[in-house]
Amino acid sequence: MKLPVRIAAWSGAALLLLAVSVVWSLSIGSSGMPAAKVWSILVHQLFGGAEPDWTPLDEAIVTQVRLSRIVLAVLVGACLGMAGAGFQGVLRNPLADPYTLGVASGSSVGAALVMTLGLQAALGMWTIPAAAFASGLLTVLTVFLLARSNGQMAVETLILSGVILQAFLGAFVTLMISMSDDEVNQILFWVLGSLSKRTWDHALLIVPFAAAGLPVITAFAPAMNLMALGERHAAHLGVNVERTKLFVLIASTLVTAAAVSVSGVIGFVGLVVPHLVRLIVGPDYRLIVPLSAIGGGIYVVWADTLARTALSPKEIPLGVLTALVGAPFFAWLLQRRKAGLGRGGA
Amino acid sequence: MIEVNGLTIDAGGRRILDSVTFRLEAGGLYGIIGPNGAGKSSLLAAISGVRRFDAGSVRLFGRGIATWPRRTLARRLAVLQQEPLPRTAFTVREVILMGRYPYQNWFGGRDAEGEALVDRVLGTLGLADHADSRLDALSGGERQRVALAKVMVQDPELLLLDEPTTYLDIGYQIHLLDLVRDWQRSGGRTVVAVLHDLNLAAQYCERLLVMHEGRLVADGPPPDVLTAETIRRVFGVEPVLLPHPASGVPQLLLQPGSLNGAPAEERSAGEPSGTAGPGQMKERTVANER
Repeated sequence: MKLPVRIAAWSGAALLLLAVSVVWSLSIGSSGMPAAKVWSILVHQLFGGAEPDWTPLDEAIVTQVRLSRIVLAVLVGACLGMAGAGFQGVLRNPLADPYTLGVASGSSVGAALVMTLGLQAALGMWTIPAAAFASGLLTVLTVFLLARSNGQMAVETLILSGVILQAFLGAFVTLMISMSDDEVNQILFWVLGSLSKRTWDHALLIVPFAAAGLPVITAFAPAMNLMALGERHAAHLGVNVERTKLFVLIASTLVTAAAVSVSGVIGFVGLVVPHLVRLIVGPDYRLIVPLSAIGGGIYVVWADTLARTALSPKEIPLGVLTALVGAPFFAWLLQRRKAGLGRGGA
Repeated sequence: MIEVNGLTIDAGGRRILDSVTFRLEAGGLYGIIGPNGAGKSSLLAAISGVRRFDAGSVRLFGRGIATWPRRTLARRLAVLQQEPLPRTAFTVREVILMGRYPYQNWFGGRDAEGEALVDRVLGTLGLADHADSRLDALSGGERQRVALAKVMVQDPELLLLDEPTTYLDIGYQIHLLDLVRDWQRSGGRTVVAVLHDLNLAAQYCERLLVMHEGRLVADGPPPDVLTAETIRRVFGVEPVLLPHPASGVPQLLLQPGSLNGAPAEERSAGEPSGTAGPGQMKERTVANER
């Protein structure tokens, strides 16, 4: 089948699944509102019509709380999914994910520092996202500088630098968690990742990053295909290897940092989703990148729906849930690969 | 076609290449020979623009190597590496089509010429039955043929081969070099091959460049270059040279216990004796190949 047809078919199927997931997620929640009412409210919002038979509170729950949260889940998942595909593509390592170069621990340090110092209100509601975003980027920049030699960045050095910095900054976060008396939960909950108490503004904040990141990473998909043969092979076929690495890593990092700054550290999405996509559609990054974005959205919508409903009224931290579901799933995936099924070569 | 002038590379306090100068005209099959660590692969990497050099110049097709955009260059220059392609999940056809990358847009489509070329090369190299096999299901020799197919569809004027027969048995070695020679002759192309088998080099190449300790020490047709004196000096073995019964080119017989002094220190520095092992001295600028 021709590539444009394959892209259209797979994306169409994935978008349909995403739409179904969103509908399902919208229809259930802790307030015990019947699904029919949820849909009357949404239809009314979109098209007007029928006299409302619900309270303004019901309406606020649907449009301000549930819908904004689900849209945010889709966006965060899309960011982590595309970034995971990008990182795996240029680092050519099956264990690479959006946090491999230290964005997550870097952002955590920034957020934890703000909370420890009690500066949450310095820039209003944007203090923590801004601090997390800046410290996440700073961390990856440090990793780049550590790994750079002779105008080039060797992949192994990049990964090692990322791992070292992650361990170092992770220790800092743990230190701040253990030192603070009353803010323990606050930092911990941020680090565990959550989409609760977020607003439409949070969702809108990520939109430009996701919208700019996807075309950039996708544009380098053919180059990433060639890099799967090795950097030398790719270079001899006309790929500018260093530029590809730089652009994809920067785009993936920006997209990840944006997602982490509003949602905290949600693990496993960026690792598992590209692998799952690869297992289904094969090794072509022209399919893997866009489908990982959509797949990430689906994954996080499901995980967040479970997180807010499974132990209702208590919420399970989202980052905990994605790993609880993701780790066994990943183990299963590895078993399948060992058995030689699927097209999951790295 | 290739003009190398005073090419010098230093790395880790060692001089890898020392003022190497030569010119190669279009339309020939040239060989580069020499012992391990002589700088053959570094020379090839510098010519193909993936390794920086410290002094001198490299000009390809009349233009400095650094000024070529990689994509434009990839339409005229291809490189077949020593290492076989990695075991990926791409199919044979998909990998060979990657050779068309420098001619294609993002979708890869609208390249009817390329598709036809891929079909033809699949046939020539006897890979048609494997076209839809995944690369990780093939043997090393088959993957090396896929790599050759990939550079053939790249349709270059100049092909550089870096010890392409290292991992192949003698049948595949002859097969691969026959294919390369036919392809070179039929298209009026130019091939430069680093070879460690002197007998194959003598039979396939019309001109040999001998590298030793980073320097070009001999350059000419095989009978002029493959002399007992040169082989003794460069490889440190006492050779028995005979004319090939069919072609008359010099062929080398090895004698046990004939090791002579010269490169002994190189061996004691950790190199296995005998002919070239798989690339201990590879210098990598583009790291992490699998």
